[in-house]
Amino acid sequence: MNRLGLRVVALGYLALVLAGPLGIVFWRTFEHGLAPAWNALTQPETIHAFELTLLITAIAVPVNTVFGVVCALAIVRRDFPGKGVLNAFIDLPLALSPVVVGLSLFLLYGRQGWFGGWLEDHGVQVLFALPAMVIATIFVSLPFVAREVVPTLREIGNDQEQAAYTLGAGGWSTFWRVTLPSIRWAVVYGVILTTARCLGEYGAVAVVSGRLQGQTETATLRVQERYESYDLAGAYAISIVLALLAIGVLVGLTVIRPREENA
Amino acid sequence: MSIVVQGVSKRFGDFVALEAVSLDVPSGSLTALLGPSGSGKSTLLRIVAGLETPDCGEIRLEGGDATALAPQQRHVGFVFQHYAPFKHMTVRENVAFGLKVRKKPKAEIRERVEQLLSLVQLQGFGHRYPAQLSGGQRQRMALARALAPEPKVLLLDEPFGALDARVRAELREWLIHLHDVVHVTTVFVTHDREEAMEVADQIAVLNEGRLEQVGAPRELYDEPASEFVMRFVGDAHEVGGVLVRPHDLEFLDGASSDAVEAMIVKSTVLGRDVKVELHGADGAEIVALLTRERFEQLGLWRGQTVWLRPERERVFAPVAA
Repeated sequence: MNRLGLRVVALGYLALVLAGPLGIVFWRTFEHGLAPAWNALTQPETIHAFELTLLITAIAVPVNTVFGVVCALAIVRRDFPGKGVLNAFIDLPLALSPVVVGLSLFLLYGRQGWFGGWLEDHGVQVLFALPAMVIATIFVSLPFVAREVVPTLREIGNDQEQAAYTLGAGGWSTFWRVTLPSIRWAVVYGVILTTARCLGEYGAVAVVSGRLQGQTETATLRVQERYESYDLAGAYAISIVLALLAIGVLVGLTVIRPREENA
Repeated sequence: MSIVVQGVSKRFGDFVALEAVSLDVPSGSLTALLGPSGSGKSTLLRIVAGLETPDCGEIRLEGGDATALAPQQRHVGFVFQHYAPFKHMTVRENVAFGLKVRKKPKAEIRERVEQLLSLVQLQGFGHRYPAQLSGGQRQRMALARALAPEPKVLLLDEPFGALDARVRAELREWLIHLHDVVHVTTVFVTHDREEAMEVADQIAVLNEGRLEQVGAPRELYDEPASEFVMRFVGDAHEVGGVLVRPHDLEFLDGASSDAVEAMIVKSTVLGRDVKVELHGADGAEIVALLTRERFEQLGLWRGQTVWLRPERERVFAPVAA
């Protein structure tokens, strides 16, 4: 096949699978002008849904960034029993359906669950509240930072760290001055992927949130709810904002990529 | 500062990297650890720096037991084989690193860095990143970085390994000069005997994790303690069952009970010397080296049969397996 043919196939596929549906969403949203979309977006429940999504993301991303870097360091730089298990477990959220994750949280934190009863006796509501939604989101977005950082750490080796030790730098100082700057682009890349995953999370959160409007409804859940209430304009408008966020993330990636190659 | 290595052994899994090695490095000396790859020389250097822990044995720095000390506490400067530059820092920041982590005053750091950059002839390169330097410049930056915190010992792992021949020769000269100026106890690892001979004032020869011999370059060459050292430190050939250096062969006109019959295959003029290749009557390949004067005086020609008498020959007891 010649190059033109390849290009047509690649672009045609993208148009059919990605651009087409996205275009239709755009078109449907603004079919009757800006007003209906604006009205849908300014409903208090919708605003709350976006705030909740951003809050969950704002908690899950830093947690997973720290965890991901620590895990990557442990996997690449340390030898300990159970390392293989840790390495395999980090990928689990990629393989596991988010719905299964949600159900497992149900089993742990439900009234009959392992921790649920005890926590409830002490006045902590996990299920159908922010804690469960945060835990579910952390779980599904867990692998991205570690998976980005591990190959970079392997590639740079530990020569620079050892050089820092011989120059008198302690472990903590070496991490901040040498290791972290060397892996910074991998971390940024992982953070962006994690953020995208958190913003778009649906399945696990759907199971554990209870979907209480204005309380435990995130933006993605709100899209589903609006759709089921035959408020298509509302559903489309929220989808558009989510799509724009995703596009923003993609643009962020493209901006970073060339710099990463130069570093 | 003196270094004492006492009975150090190290294994990596089944591989024995070092076996009961003991070595004294006098204060202010320039010592080479010489050996083929896999002989344990780099491991020994890393153990002295605290980057590896010995399975048993002791490291003493300036008389004090340093075996349990972390690399940060040993005050050694280490130059890595591939220099390990901090890639995200400029040359100046690289050199300043060891001073910054020791919280030296800023003015002092600036002054010391400039002083070191001029010592390693990298003035004007301070703002560059390691990726913008040549191999030789990167090497010198690594040296300046290692010297900045004024270490008591400077350790270099294959310091000239990754450079081309001309830069190598230049840096050798330069390292000798540096040692004269800074006068810090220096140990470097090399697999190149000429490099060791030219630069070091003491050479420790390692083979398969064991220390074969320690001595001045001339001592190793003239009085090798083992067949391995004899062969590794200079050229050596077996002539009539003994090992002999190429220039320790005397050409005789006639048969003699202590000489070996051989036929001249080829002769090559190497400046003042002539290299003569011969086939021994027993099938051995022999190389002899003699001055041009002597060569012409003897009137040697290709195909001629001669008798060779080893002078200063050596016989080593076979190594117990």
